[in-house]
Amino acid sequence: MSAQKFSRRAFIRGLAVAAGGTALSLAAACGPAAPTVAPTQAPPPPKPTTAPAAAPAATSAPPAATAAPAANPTTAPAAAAAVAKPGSVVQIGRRSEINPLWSPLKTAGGEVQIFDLIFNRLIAPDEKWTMQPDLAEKFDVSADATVYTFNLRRNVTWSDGKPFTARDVMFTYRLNLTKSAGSRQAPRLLQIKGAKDFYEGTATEVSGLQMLDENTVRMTLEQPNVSWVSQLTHSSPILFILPEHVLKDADPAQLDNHPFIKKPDVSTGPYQYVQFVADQFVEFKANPNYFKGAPKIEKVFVRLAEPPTQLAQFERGELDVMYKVTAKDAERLKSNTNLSIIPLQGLGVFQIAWNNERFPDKRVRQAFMYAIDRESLIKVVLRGEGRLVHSTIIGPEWANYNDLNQYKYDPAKARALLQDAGWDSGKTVNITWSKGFADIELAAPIVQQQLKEVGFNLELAPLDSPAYIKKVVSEPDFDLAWFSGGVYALDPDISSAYYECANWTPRGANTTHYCNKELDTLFAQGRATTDTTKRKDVYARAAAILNEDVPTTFWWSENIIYGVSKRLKGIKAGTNDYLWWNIQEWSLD
Amino acid sequence: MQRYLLRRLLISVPILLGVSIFSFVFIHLAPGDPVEALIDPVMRADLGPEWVAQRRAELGLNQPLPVRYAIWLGQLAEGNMGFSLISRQPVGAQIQERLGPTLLLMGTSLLVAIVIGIPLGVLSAIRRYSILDYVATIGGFVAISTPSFFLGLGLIYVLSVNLHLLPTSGMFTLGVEPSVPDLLAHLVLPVTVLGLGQTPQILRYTRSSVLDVLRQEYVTTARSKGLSDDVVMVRHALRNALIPLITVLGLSLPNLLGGAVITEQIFQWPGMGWLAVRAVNGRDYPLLMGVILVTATMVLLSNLLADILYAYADPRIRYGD
Amino acid sequence: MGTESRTLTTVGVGQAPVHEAVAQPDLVLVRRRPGVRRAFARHRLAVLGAVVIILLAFLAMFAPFIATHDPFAIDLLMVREGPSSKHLLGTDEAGRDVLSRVIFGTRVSLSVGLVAVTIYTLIGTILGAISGYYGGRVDSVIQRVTDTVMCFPSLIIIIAAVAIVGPSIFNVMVVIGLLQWPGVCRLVRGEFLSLRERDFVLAARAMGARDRRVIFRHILVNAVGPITVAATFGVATAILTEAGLSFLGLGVQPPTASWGNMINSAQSASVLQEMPWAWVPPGILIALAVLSINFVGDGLRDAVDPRMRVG
Repeated sequence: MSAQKFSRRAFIRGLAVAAGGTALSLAAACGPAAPTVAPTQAPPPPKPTTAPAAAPAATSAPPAATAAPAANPTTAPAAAAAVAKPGSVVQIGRRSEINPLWSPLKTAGGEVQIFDLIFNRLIAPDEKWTMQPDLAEKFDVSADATVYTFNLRRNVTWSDGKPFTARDVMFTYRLNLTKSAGSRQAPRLLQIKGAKDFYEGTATEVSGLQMLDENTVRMTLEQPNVSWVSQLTHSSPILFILPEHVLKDADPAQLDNHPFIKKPDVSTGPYQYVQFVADQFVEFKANPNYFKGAPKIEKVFVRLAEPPTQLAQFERGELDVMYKVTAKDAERLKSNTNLSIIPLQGLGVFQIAWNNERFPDKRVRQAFMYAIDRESLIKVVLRGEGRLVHSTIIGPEWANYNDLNQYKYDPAKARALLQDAGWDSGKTVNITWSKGFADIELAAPIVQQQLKEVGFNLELAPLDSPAYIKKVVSEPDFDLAWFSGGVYALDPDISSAYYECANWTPRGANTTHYCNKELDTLFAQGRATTDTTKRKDVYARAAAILNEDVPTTFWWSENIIYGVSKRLKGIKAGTNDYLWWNIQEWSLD
Repeated sequence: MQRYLLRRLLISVPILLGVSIFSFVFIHLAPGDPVEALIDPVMRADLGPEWVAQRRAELGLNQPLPVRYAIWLGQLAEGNMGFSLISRQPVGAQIQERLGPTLLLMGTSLLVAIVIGIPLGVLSAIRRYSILDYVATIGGFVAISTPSFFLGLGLIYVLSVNLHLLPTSGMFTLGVEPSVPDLLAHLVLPVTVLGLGQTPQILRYTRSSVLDVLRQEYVTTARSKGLSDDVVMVRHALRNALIPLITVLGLSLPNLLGGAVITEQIFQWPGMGWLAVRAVNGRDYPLLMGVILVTATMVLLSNLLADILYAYADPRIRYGD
Repeated sequence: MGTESRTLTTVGVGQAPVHEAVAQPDLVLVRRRPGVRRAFARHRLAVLGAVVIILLAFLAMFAPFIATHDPFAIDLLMVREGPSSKHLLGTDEAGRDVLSRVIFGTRVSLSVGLVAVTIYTLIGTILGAISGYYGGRVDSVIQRVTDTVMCFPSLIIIIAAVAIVGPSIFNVMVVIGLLQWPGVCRLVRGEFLSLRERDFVLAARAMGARDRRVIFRHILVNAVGPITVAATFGVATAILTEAGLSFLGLGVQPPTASWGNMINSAQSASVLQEMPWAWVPPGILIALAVLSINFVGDGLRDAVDPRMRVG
C-alpha cells in the first residue's frame, strides 16, 4: 500500500536527517579537539652570564637564589630550578574587555596591566606609592621643577639579548611625540620643551629631550611641573619603554599593524609575552634575565572573564589573584581559609559631575551634598570598604585635608539651601552613567529617594559606554554624570586636569566646565615647586575651594579589594592598587 | 524541485543584500562610535578631540555611510570581510576561530535535547497521564522556567566550587596540554544548561504529535492487519514525529552558529553570541556586519533545507511553481 | 535556558514551536464539538492553571491594595534583612520590602509578555494563513519577506534599538514582537499547506464557500491547536526573556521591580548564597506563571482541537 511505502521512505529520510544532525555535531566536536591553544614550551634555562648583576632596588630584597647564577656557570641547572619552578602557573583574573593587540601607545584600559608585566617604565611605584627606580636607577629633579635627569641602569638587556640603552628611551619618547603614531601620552609629553614643534612637524628634534650619554637622559619642561614624571609613570597613560632596535624602521602611522605590536615578544620586564587567545587569556613566561631578579614562577596567565565567573574561578582555586572583589563577596570570602582578602586604599574618587553651565548656583550643588546620607551609603554600598572624601585632592598622605566641610547628612539644610537658590521642585534633573557600574546601580535608587525628600527630582538614565562618552565628553549635553575612577591620590596636581579653565571638554578633561582663576593659579603654583611644605599649603587652599564650590559633588574613595590564594607567597601589599609591582618575587607553595 | 531550489538560492542574494543594507544603517543609528567605546570614560578626557578625530580618520569613520557601505560590499566581493575596529584582526579570522567552539557547544546541546526529548516524548505519549508523563511534563516546564544564568551559576557553585567535580569555565585547563577529556569536562556544564533548555520543547511536540498519531484510524487499520502493537507504535509514531523534528532542527540550525550569549558569558565559552554582543556594544561595525552576514546565510539555508524536507516527508505539501 | 533556546539571547533567530501537520487519513469528518467548557473542565490541570493565572492577574491589578509597603521605599537601616514580621519576605540590598516588590513586579512581568506575543501572533497568523492558503506567488512573496525578517539577529537589533530609543521594556517587547512573527507564520503556513488539500476543505469549496469562510471556519479552527500552544509557550518565554534581558542590562530598569530584574540580583554569589529570600520568591512566581500558562494552553488545545475528540 502506498502508505506503507511512503512511511518507509520517510522513515529512512527522517533517520538521515537525524544522523546528519548528529554527524554535524560530532564533526564540530572533533574539530576543536585539535588544540586551538598551542601548548607552550618550557623556558630554556637561563644563561648564567646574563643573569642579573646589578643589585636590585632597595625595596625588594633579592632572594639568594637569583644572585647565584652570576657566580658559577656550572651551577646553572640548579639555579634554573630555583629561579623559575617549571610548571608553576599563576592565574590572574581580569574583566573580559581586553585587546592587547592594541598598541602600548594607544592602550587605554585593561591592556595597561598586560603591558606592565612585560615592559618597564623609567620609575615605578612600590607598595607605598613611593617612586622607585625601574629602568632608571636614579633620577633628579631640579629645584625649579623643570629639569629631569634620569640615570639608567646598566647591564639591562632586552629579552632578545640586545642591550638596553638611553637610545631606547629617546626613541620611545620621540615615537610618542610623533603625531601620526597617535599616542595617548602625547598630551603629557607636550610639556617638554620643543615637543610642540616636533609634534606639529616644524622641528626634527625635541629640544628639551637630550641623551647625555649611553645611560643618561635629560628632559627639560616648558613649565615647572613637579608631578610630571609621576603622572607619566603611573597614571592613565603609562609610558612604557619600547625597543628601538625592533621598531626603529616602523612607520608610526602603521604601527598597529607592525608584527611587534601584534606580538610584543621583545621586552625588558619580568615576563615575556607568549600568546593571546581572544576572550580567554593572555599567556606569559618568565624572563630569566630580568634585572630585578628572575621570577620564581614560570608561567603567568591573565585570565579574562566576567565578574561572576571570575569569582567562581577564584573560589574554586582556578584563579590565584582576583582583582576587584566586590565588598560583599569579600565579606563572604573572609572566612575561606584558602584565600586572603587584601583591601587596598584606592586612588580614585566616586563622584557626580555637574554641568556647571546649566547649574551655576553652588547652593544647589551644596544642597545635593547635604541631602545625601553618604555615611550610610558607604555602609550599604561599599560595606565600609572605602573612605569619605571631601574634595578630589585626597593624597598622597601629606595632602590629606581633614578640616574641610564634611557635608554631614542634613536634609533640613538641603531644603533651606534649595529654597534660597529658588529651586523649582517640579524640575527633573537627568543623571547618566556608563552601564555596568554595580556600585552606581545600587546607590542610584537610594540617592534618588533621598533627594526626592528635599524636593529634588532625579531621573536615572544609564547609557552604554559609547553613548555615554558622546553625551558627556565629546558632544557634551548632560545634566549630571556619575562616574568613578581616576588616580587622584597619586598627586594633588592630578585634579588640575579636571578643573582648569583651559581644559574644558571636548578639548580636555574638565567635564563640568568649571572655571576659577584662583584655582588655576594655585594649581600652577603647586606644580612649580619641589618643596612639599609649600605644596601642602597651596593644595590646602585648592581643596578648600573645591570643597566649597563643589563643581563635582564628592563622594568617597573606594578600596580596591584583591583576592589572593594563600598558596601565593611574596605579595607585598601596601597602598599601591597595582598589586603585581613585585611579581618577580612571588612564589607558589 | 530543481527549479524551485535554484529560484530559492538565487533570491537569497537580494535578500542578503537587503538585510545587510538595513543592518548597516540601523547599527549606525546607535549613538557613539568605536573609538569612544574603546576608551575607559574616566581616562578618555585626557586625550582631546584631535586624538579622537585622528583615530576616527584612521578607521575610515568619517566617510559618509553609502561610501562606507560600498567599500564594505566591494571588499566582500573579493572575499574580504574587513578588519575589526577593536581588535584589528581580520573579521573572517575572528569569526572562524569561534565557529568551532560555537558549533561544538550548540551542536552537543541540541543533540542532548534530541536524545532526551524524543524518546521521553514518545514514552510520555504512549503512557499518557502516567507518572512518567507528569514528571516529564512538569520537569520540562520547570526546566524552561529557570533563567539560564541562574541555572549556570547554580551549577557552577554546586558542582564546581563546592564539590570540585568539574571546572568552572573556559574550554581547556590553562597551563596543561589540551586533551579531549579536558574539553569534555569543560563541556558538561554549559551543555547541561543549554540542553535542558531545549529539551522541553522537543519533548512536548514529540509527545503531542505521537498522541495525534495514536488516534488515527489507520493505526487501527494497521493493527487490524496483524502487526504487533510495538511495531505499529514505533513506526507510525516516529514517522509522524518527523515533521515536528524537521521544523525544530530547521529552526535550531541557525542557532548552531548564532551561539547563546548568556551561557557563553557565564562559562567563558568563546562563542559567536558573546562576540556579537561585544561587537554591538563596541560599535565594531565590520565585525557586526560579518556576524550578521554569517547568521543570515545560515538562516536562509536552514529554511530552504527545512522546506525541502517537508516536501519529502509529506507529499501532500506542494510548492507552487 | 528557556530564554536561550528560543529567542533573542540566541543571537540568531527567533524560534517558533513545532509544525504539527500530521498526515491524516481522508475520512475524518469535522464533528460538532461537545461544549468546549465541559471538555476543558475535564482537564484538571488546565483549570488549576487558569485559577492561578486569574489570581496573578488579580494580584497585578490590585497590587497597591495588597502590597504591605511601597516597593520603592528605601530603608537604609533594614538592608538585607531576612524574613521577619515586618517584612514577610525580607528586604533587598536597598532595604526595600521584597514581598511588595514581587507583587508589583507581577504587573510588569505579566504585561510585557502579552505585548510581544500579541504582536507576533497576530502578524504571524494572518500572514501565515494567507501564505499557506493561497500558495503560489503570494506564498513565495510572503515567505521571502519572512526569510528576510528571520535573518536579523534579534539580540543585536534589540541592543541597537535600546541605544537609539532608550531602554524602556515596552520598546524592547515591541521590537521582539516585530522580529518573532516569522516563527508563527511558518507554523501556520505549514498547517494550511497540509490542511487545504483535505477533503473537508475541498468539499466546502465545492459547495461554494468563499475563501474567507473556508479559511476561518474550516482551516483555522483546525490550526488553532498549535497556534495556541505557540502563543502560550510564547507568553511563558517572554516572561523568561525579561529575566535574560535584565542580565544583559536591557530589561526593566531599576528601581522599578520586575521578576526578571529581581532574579537578576542572584548573579552575585553573595546574594545567591546568602539572601535566598531576594530571588527565590520571584523565581517561584515565574515558574508558577509559566506552568499555569502552559497548562491552560494545553487544556485549550485539547478542548478545541477536533482531532483530540475521542469517542
